[in-house]
Amino acid sequence: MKTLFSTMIVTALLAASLLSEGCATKSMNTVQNAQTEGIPMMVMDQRILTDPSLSRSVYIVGVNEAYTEDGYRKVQVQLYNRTRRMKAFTYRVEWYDKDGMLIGSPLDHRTPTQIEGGQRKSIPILATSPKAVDFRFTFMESLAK
Amino acid sequence: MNYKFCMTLALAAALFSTGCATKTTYVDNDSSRLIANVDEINIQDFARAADEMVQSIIEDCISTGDLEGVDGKKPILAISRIVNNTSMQFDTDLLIKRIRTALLKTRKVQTTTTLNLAKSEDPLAEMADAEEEIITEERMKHSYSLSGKIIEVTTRTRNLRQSSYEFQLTISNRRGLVVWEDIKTITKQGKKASVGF
Repeated sequence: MKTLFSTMIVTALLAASLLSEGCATKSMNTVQNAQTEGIPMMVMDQRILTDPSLSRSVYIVGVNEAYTEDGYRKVQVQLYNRTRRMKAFTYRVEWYDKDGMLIGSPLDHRTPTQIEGGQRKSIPILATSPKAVDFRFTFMESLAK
Repeated sequence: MNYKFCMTLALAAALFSTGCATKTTYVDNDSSRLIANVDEINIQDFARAADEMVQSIIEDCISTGDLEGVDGKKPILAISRIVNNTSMQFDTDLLIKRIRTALLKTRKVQTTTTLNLAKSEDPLAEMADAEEEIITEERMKHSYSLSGKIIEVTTRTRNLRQSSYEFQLTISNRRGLVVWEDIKTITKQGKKASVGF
């Protein structure tokens, strides 16, 4: 009886360790220079969050902007995955002109990407129209299963 | 009895066929519900590659003033050889026309329908250009040309297939000196086609 019980305990422990290895999530470690020389120009942003689970994995840290020498606007969204699991999502950028009108383009598309657990990811986008003054980023959880 | 039975059967058949009928829906070109194939370059892939290339051209070429025209005019960009090195048959205009359209809209570059390596896109414009050349004794010359290649790299494991499509584009001047070059890769993994990505 004692032997049977011991065997069951050992088997259970072994199974638990094997299962946890398979289910283990992997997150990303990061190193960067502590005193950064670049000075990002942060943009005040307005957020409308309708998917709480997505906003945990694809957390918007901030948005900074820059301009090319020719005056094209460039924005960069900084994201952080606060979970330990990889998250697949898609994003799209819409550009608006000074009158608030959407600037359509044959290049319009939704980009699929992933963010690993614990990863900080930057997505830079350059406006391809010189008329672009405002932007809107949209994020969606990936539909692929 | 016979009549009722036939009517019931007909009604059931009608309801059944309506339920089984395939429905066609329209999907936005920037939707995430488009079909994604592992072993094909889908329309959204062309749009994405073109967008990233145009951003690169604007940032590293146009904005830096590397594209210069003659006598203060806009530089003329012609389309040279675009090689399809994939296992798919597709029209390279799915990529190039998008790039040309976006570059024209910047108002910093002049594109052309007649000065291209392939057959002229606009035969009427080509005829008119030829007449103009006779009259003015001046031949329109391109300042720069866009060339490139699309390469496919596939690999697979027992259960999974992976295809990488590498878009390589170059802008060079008349002497063949490169003024801009970039590579964009789109990698897809999966077992089969799926709706949504």
